[in-house]
Amino acid sequence: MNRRDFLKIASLTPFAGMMPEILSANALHKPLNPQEKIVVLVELRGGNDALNTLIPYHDAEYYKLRPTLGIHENHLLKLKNGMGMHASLRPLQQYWDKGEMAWIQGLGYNNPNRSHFRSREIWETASQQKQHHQKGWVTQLFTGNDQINGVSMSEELGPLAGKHSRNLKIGSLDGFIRRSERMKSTTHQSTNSALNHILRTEQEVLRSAGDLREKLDKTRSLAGYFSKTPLGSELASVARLINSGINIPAYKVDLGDFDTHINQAGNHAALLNSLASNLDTFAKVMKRIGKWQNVIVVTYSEFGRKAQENSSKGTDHGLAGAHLVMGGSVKGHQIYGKTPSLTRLDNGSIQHTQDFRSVYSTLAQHWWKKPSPWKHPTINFV
Amino acid sequence: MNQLSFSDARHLTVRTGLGEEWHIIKKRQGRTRAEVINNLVRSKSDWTQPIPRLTSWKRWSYLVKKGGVSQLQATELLRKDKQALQEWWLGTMLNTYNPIVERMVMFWHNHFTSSLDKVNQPELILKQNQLFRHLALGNFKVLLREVARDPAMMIYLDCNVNGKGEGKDEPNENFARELLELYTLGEGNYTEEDVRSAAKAFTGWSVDRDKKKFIFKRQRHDYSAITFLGHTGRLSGDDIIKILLQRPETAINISKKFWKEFINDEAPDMPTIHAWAGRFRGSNYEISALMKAVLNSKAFWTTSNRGTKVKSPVELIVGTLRALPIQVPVPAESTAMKRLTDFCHSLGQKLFVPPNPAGWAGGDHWINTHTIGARKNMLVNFTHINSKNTLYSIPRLSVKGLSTWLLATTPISPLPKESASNREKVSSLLQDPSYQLT
Repeated sequence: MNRRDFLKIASLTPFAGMMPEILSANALHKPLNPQEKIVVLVELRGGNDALNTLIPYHDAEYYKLRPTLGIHENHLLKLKNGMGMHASLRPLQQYWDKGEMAWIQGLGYNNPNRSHFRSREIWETASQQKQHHQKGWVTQLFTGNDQINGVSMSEELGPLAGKHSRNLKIGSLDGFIRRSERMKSTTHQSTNSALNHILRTEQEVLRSAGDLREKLDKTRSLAGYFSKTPLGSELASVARLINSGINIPAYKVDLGDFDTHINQAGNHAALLNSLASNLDTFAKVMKRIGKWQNVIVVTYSEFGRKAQENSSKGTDHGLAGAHLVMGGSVKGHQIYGKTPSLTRLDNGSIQHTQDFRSVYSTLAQHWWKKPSPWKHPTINFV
Repeated sequence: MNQLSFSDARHLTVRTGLGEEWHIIKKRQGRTRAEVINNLVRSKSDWTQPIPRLTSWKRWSYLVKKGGVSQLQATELLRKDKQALQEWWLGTMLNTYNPIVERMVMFWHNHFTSSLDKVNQPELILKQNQLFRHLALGNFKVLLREVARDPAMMIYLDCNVNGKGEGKDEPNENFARELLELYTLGEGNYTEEDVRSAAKAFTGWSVDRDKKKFIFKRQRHDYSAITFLGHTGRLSGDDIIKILLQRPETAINISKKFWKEFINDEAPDMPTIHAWAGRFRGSNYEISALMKAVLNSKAFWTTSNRGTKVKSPVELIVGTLRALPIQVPVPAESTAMKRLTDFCHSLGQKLFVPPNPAGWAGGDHWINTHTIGARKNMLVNFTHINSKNTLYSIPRLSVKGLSTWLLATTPISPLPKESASNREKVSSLLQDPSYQLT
């Protein structure tokens, strides 16, 4: 379903048809819960080309570096200060205009790694160059409590990783609940550590399904409002969990493959369009259920791509990225951070102007009101 | 002499093969350890299912530009080829008479990783898989040299963009780093300078994606002198490999991986590792010699190391289907093989698509809040009513006997009743958490 269809349904059934079903009792009758602070992390797998996402169209150097991939200023959405966004992001323009969406540019880290896997690990665990953390950055913030702290609807837990940390990897919500019925409750403990891990995971599934079942029973699936794409169904599940009234601080979904070494233009446009239209639907649903003030959507990706396009009309692994944040509480209509230089490149790549951990510090301190283990300055986006 | 008990034969069979195959366990029971091991390490087989007809892929852009194929058709052809290849290997694992060979193919696939999703030329991945099969228990030196020239690996680790550092043509450190870190020495046994030197030595090693073969681009090779692990001079890529094979750390690193594959997921016992590595180097890197050392070690046989590893998705899927006569229920629009590859994917082991160059982490990582339910759900599917008649033919055993055959440790749940049907008994045992272990 695209945005237009959604609006059509919404307008045909103003408050009578869709609303009561979609709204949980919680949202209808109770005032907004200021304690509910939700972050939805959207991983752009493969390294999103920041330069063709948030475009410095005033900079002549951009068009020199991108003779075929450069996007003419008449074909992009102008934001401010000579920066524009890719036309495929049009569904998000309204949030920018209303001040509910911002960009953070020049995000990266020192001694960068151009390997997908290592750089992804660095972004997801906030580790230093030679450190390896077992726990994702979100898990590091939420330790020692007894709630479900995060749910990943995508292949990997990523920022939510960490053994027995009450962060769940879920394929489908109904499947998760249904399959939990196959697990047997046990207090059995074994000296066999592999067996113990299996038993503990089973108990975690049983317990979490217990926490979720009753709430989910009261809220129906919202999949009908979302596109039939993997990202659409992942966001539909997130929306349903949020609508159920269960207070889970972090969610993870993903979209890919942004590793556009070859013939980038069409593929990249399609990916950004999928991102934008799915996030638009998600935002509309959040507004309808009265949770938009409680949610911040943040994208991330392991790196940006080289400034210079390659000979296959694509771009190779680069460094700094630009990411969007949106939500009812976001201080939007802003581009945070210094625009990276297109003349001082590192091996053809845009160098970062701020550390990506600043985003995590900001979410920790200003949103979740938790001390940040990362000593990087916060950004004013919330 | 050391005669194998049922439990010994079972342990050897599941850890070196694919599944709790009754007739193999029974054939080995009562024989001497030496005889069975000697036979096992001599296994050699190039047998596979008939190779699927694959599109003759050149570079993607070539096919789209000159092959008269639209982008959309090309995507669809590629998807079909990938699926066919996955079904072919899974079918080979299901039907081979030499499960130890396929197990080693998987081991090398997870050591010298390449991903079909990056390579995007299914024929090259097929060729690599055949190489792993041919040298499954062969010579590691030969294998390493072949892999260094293997087109699929070279594309996966970006050797096809590998110049001597003039302009935008940079020496590629991706392969050099993985060669040292993953393939041979292991982390901490080299410096960044060694990585840069190795990268220089391999400049000009490239691949012709259209002819699908290794090429050496003389004009792109950096002939300047380098220093690598204490050796200085004009070193070639083959010199680098030779030096790596002279270092004791290489055999130690491979031995540690064998420990993880065949013993347990804990930190290995270092004296044992050194003993294995010594045998491995002493045999001029015969993989069968290392395997023999592993299978004759105390660590392999000790009962405290039995039933201590989580089965990989492939072990769970292929193993169950090799051990038990099962009719997998197939939805109307699918096929049995498609369904099995879907199971692999949903349990986290999409064949030919390891998550990163280090491969699947394995062990406890196989189990998370999603996969545990997906595993149990799949096993319910396997013991679906469809299998009522086929399961009739399993060995006539008491419930206790079935349990010691199918489970690697004592069951957690109560045993099914003797009066239950075979299907009910098997179904109940397969749902036990212990069935997830090998």
